[in-house]
Amino acid sequence: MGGWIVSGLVYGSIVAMGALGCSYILLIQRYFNFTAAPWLALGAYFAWTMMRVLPQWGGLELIIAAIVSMVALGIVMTAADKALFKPLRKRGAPFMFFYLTSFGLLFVVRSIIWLIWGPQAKYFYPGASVGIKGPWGIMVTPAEILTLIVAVVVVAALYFFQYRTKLGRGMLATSQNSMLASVCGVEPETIHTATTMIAGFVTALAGILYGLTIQVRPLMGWYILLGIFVCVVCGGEGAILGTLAAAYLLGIAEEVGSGLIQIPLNFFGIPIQMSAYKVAISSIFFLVVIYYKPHGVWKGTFLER
Amino acid sequence: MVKEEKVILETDKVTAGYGGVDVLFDASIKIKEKELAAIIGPNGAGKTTLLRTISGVLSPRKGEIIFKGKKLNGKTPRERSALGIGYIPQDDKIFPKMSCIDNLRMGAYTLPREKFSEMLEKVYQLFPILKERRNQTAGQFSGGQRQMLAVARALMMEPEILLLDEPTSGLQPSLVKEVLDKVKDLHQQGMTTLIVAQNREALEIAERAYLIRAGQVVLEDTVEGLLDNDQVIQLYFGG
Amino acid sequence: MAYIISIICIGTSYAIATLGLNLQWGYTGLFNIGVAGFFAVGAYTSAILTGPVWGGTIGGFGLPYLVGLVGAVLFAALLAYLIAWILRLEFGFLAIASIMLSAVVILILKNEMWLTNGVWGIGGIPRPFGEMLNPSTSDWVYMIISLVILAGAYFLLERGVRSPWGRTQRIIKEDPILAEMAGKDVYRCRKMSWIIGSMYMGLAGAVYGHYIQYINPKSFDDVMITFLCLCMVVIGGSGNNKGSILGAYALWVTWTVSEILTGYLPEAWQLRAPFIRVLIIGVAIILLLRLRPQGLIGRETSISKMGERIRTGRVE
Repeated sequence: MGGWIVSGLVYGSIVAMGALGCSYILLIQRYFNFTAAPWLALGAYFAWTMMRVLPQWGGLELIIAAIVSMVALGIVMTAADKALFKPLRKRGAPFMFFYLTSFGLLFVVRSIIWLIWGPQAKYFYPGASVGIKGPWGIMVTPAEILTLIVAVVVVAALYFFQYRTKLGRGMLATSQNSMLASVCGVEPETIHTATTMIAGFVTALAGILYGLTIQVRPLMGWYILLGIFVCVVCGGEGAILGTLAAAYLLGIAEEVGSGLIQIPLNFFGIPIQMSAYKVAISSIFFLVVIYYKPHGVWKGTFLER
Repeated sequence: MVKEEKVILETDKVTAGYGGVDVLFDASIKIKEKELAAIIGPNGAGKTTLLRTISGVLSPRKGEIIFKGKKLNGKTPRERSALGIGYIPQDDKIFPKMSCIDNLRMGAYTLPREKFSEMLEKVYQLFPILKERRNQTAGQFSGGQRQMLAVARALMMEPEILLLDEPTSGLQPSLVKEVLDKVKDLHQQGMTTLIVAQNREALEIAERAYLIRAGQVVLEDTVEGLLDNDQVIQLYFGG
Repeated sequence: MAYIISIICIGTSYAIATLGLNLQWGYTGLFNIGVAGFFAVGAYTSAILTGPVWGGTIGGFGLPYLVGLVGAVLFAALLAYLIAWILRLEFGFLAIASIMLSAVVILILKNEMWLTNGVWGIGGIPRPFGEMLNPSTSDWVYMIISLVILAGAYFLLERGVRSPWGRTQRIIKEDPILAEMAGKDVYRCRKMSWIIGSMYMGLAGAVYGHYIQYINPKSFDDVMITFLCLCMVVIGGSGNNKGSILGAYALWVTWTVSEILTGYLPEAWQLRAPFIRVLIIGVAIILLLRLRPQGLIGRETSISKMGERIRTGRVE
């Protein structure tokens, strides 16, 4: 049971990173960025490629690769935004165009990834990860511990940025009242650039952490895209803390849920493998939440931030 | 009019609208320094549109806006507020999810950090209630408080002209008086003010007013002259 | 020759699905990314109802073709109704839910051996008049049948769109607030659009299944169907029924032709070929959206010019 909870938290941490990126874009640019799926894969592949090039420095190479990848993905996502979405913004295009473009871009990027890196799964550190025995006898790998820490650090950093820096406040202002924000002197395109850069950073992190704890493969983003969706909606758009909390809950629900449901299934000999159905659990989780609280779970609590 | 005062703001045949449909045609007005002028007119006449073109939020299709001798066409709202234009819109006048002091911080977005505390103090003196409630979420403010906050936000930049779009709409009568009194105070301290008004009380604090109807400036007079004008009373306060 | 028939038949099923998507998306503004799910459900329902006993599944009722089609359509409608009931058709939720549906459907198809024979699929799906004809004639006949179905679907939709109901839909899409004020039951209209669109997709799946006569989860996986249908709607111009059909055929022909062409590439490139094709189509779609948003044919004019102006009259 403890193992399930830890797995859930790790999974939640990864999803949260992706969800934060999408949440920002949803908040400021008002569309759901489907392309996040291949973007996060791209982030993972960037980092993986860098790792092939750097010598082994006892872990430092991972950090360097990660930072380079985050910056690179930020730049790529920003470039894509300026080239494809900014004209749509200027034209005042209906949001459907944003969704369609994002969806089309998803296939473009995914194809590029496949063409460059091929379908084989790749690993950051080949060879099985050695598990460490943690408290209560739960096995965790170093990668998982790293994931948990990174998620919390990133959320804290983003929270600080959002509420204590000028640019962060400018972003908040734009999301609440873009007209008034421009009157106050906030430059819209600067905000958009900041949004896509930040989204790039966290999305790359999501990919890297996924690659570390599981593996790197072309469709990796697609598998967690659903979880990201659910998190963004349940967490509330732009709610940094809320998104992480929702992600943790989602992760735990999936792991614990499938584990628990498996027990009676095994008992009664029903040949359904719940691990395959984790998606179903997150779907049910989502449907239940949305039915009762369509505006995000944390509305009215401090986690709304 | 005995003294020939300097014109600080002028719109020259401004035509503007939305999505290809013009709602304002050839609007030309002149506002003098330290004046309190009003724009009145029925709903949908184009008053808000005019203010929007002056503040930079909307670009006019034709015409020119001149402030302190500078042509404004093409300048962003940021540049215009730096020049001294303080705009307070009718709807969406605050940042509802931010605290009161954060709203004021937004007002000081382009100010150097050192000036912030100085301006904050000035604003608190004018509107003590904002100091009292500085950490409250602005969305929870009442209508009157929101209006004060909105004006305070604009004042953070030390503007030279205030553009107030229907500052008393939706307020109960006692608050209407309170807000208008504050506007009068500001005016007495030397602030040029242009106020878009829908009610008589707002018109009465002004010195001079323009009447806009169906997108066109149809009348311009002192406030006494307008109030004497039966046509205006009929057309405007009757409707 | 047989190849051309194949292109037409499969193109026809895509066309039907695209009509459905066009109704949901182009006319009502509902973003459905789970086309593949409804398509698959339709195909499998029809297969189970009409097919022979196959590999230990519960199927094999051997019912007639029409029953299969009807079953497919109804089941798709049922799923659509469930989603609408739970989610109240909020735009963003719908997008997610449609992906979810697709994903869950595929999972069930893959895993539930008792229902769908898992990854081994269901084969031997019969064609109407199947036993009476030899294979090549059967192909011809089926092509004609599917074209007839498409024609029927098209005319039904065209009638619907020109009816008062259809006009209401357009108003709702362009200006929901205006529609609400005019007293139209926005939610009910959207729901109907959603369900009918999904029914079309189910139908399309069934038509497809009966053509290729063997289906497995892999044929519906990978979002390709959804992607292609979305592209078809964009190419045809959203909100334009003729365009949807033409877009469907155009894209499908392009797709299969590119498949043939890449077949001539050297061995080493073979594996990569599908992705190159997707890449090119993806880029083409994005460019189309940027440069010619009305699609190749252009959409039908708005019902309400004023509504359009009010809607686009945003200051920012």
